[in-house]
Amino acid sequence: MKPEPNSHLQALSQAIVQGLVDEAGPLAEKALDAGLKPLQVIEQACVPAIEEVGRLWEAGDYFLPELIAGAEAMKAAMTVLQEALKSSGQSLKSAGRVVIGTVEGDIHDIGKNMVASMLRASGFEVIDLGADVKVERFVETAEREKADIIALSALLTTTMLNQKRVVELLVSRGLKDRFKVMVGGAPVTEKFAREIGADGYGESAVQAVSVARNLLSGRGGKHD
Amino acid sequence: MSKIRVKLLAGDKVIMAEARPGQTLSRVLFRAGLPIKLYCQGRGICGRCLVEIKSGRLLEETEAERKLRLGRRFPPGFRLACQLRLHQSLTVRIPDDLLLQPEIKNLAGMFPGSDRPALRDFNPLVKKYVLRLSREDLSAEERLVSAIKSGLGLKQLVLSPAAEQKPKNVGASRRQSTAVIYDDRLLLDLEAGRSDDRILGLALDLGTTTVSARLLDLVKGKTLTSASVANLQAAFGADLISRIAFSVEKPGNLKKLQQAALKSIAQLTASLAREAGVKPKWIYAVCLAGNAVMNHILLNQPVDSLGRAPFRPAFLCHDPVPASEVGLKLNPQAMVFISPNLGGFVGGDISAGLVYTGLPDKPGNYLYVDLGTNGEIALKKGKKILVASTAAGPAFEGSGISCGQPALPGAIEYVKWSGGSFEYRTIGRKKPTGLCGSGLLGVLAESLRAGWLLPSGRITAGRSEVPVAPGLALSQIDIRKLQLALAALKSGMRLLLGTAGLDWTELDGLYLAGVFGSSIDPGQCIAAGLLPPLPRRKIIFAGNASLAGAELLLLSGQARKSAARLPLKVQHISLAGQENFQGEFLKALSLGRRYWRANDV
Repeated sequence: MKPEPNSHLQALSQAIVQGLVDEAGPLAEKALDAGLKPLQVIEQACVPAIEEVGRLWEAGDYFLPELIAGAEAMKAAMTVLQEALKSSGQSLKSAGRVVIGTVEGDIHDIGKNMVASMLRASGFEVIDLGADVKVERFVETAEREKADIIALSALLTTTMLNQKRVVELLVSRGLKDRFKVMVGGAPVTEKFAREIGADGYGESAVQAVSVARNLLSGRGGKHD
Repeated sequence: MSKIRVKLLAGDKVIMAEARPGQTLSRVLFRAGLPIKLYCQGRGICGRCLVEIKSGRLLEETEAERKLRLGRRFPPGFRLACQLRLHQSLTVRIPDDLLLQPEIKNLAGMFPGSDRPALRDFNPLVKKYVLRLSREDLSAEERLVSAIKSGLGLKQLVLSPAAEQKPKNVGASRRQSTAVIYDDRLLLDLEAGRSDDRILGLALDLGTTTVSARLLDLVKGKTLTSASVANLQAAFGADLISRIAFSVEKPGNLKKLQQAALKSIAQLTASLAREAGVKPKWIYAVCLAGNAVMNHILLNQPVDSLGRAPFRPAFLCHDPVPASEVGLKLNPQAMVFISPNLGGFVGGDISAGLVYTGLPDKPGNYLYVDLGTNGEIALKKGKKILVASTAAGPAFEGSGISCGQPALPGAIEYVKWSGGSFEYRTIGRKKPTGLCGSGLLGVLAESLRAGWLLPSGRITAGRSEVPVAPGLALSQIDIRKLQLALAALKSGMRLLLGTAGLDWTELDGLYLAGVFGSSIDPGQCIAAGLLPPLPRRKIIFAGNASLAGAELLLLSGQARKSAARLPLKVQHISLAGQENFQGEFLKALSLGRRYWRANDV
């Protein structure tokens, strides 16, 4: 590879790791201008960069502001790159489709937003229903949008029972096998997730990405 | 008309005052800056505002004074300040315990009992009057009430609901009897004989973790003793939300929570009474200052609405309830006054705290921050008060932090970086066992200064912890938890300021309430970034303002009026519902002063 395109990839990668939201988009454009293919930029700059952000989080170097800035920078770059893919008639293979929201009775959504950002940055399609979302709405949206995963956030011990109600509704409608359910939020534990019949639990937004990947890894090729 | 010269002797002070002819001495004292305790609000019926006339010629005793002199001998040379009208120059000595305490400028006292509120008026919630009632007066309930009402010059008087359950109490047949009156409007009891020196009140801060109380003599307006016990509800969940979850799990659980609270209060009352050498049945009034979940549970009201958005309490203001109805074993006729709720997570503890600081009726812009689990914040601007609760979590109570602990002996309460190491001081100068809230804030402030921490919260130079004392170190995860707690409070303050259109530089003061180590340092609060960098004199530590507020509510009619008006003045803001909440919260995660210097809210 010529040194010049390589330096474009490096600059973009660094911008994402450092969470430079305003620079990531223009740097992605520069990479394309230099003749790099969109897929190559995604695979060689963006994906390793967001993985590095996740690694720095796990190591304790990064905290929420750095994590969210990294995800935002990733999003800015990906907007440019996906546009370029589209105009060349290609599209990026989705890592999976996720319906996400904070459950009914709960208005806390920073944690949920973090998970949504990290999932998006990691190639998932995310349908964010916001906060205080009714049980039925999760299930109906997942059906309509042909989602793979329903992700439920709850920040209160009183409202985490609504995570259980979503699982119960899925079971009663015979949909439990169609969607994977993952849960998270400050009071939620792995044990609670198992007890209510959820398929996955993530302690942080970074973990949520690997949990989502694992849940879908057994499924083979993804539909659109 | 010519002025009358009055020489006032109070303590070691001599004050020369002027009076208009015919003015009462109590009015003159008030104008001279020596307000006195007017137990019966100057109606001349209690005989408690006795002052000694040292020299000067006096007019004859008034009718009220003559009556009182018949009933109880008051010493020669003494007159009632509320009745004595001035027509000649004279010299008067005011007994010390008759004076209202002067306004306490600095509320800094951190230890229970030292932050005695400044009384603006003396009007205890329950009062007793010795009466002579005729056989006819005693013949029927209605007659009795009306006789007492007119005898005491009250605007209205009805029989207390608790007294109605036992009408025989209101029928003392002796000639001399003592009427027990709540808030100048409710006849609690008529006791046989004289018992007017025996009225106690209980100021009660019913907290989620700790129940604190002070026992007061409502005749003298004195604090007798104070104590705290653990809230036995902890057996059913550590925090408010888990208590709510427990209460809705099955019927009967709400009652279990109520019983646990009652048991804690009974323990506390018994130990306070023992220490003061009094009997619980002498307690006629309780002022309850508790968060909304706690006051709902004590009153056996369902709390499920407090566990989910929009977190509505079943009541803001609540009528006083008979203690016997609640299940408190005090005087059978005792009443419970409930400090009003201002929102789901801004409860009676906060309204009591606000009343204590006097903030609701003060001109200017003030912030009030309670450093508890919910981290309640109030912002006063003009006539309006905005309130909000934040999810600060229990980090400042030492909970959830690997080396954290409550502010008890052995807790590191103060930390300073000096000469290449952390110097520290523990509560009670004991061997360090952990860090309490003030110590944890100190570590943040000093670590930033010493370069152990970056403003991002990262521990520097590849280290994995900040070692404070032998065996006590803060891990990266501890620091992150403190950052989250700080950010919840900081973003809450900024969002309220933003909603009110105020900048923190326009604040006239900031009250910081909460029970932390006594050594919390305003400089370190600012250096850690918890508080905006206001001049030190504008930061006022209010200690356990809820308990002090409950005490004030027992003693002052003005305080009770101020509390009753609070729900009308207050606007509750849902922080999580604010559009810029997430952005503000993320910015607030940065440590140090930087957050407050940026002007883009």
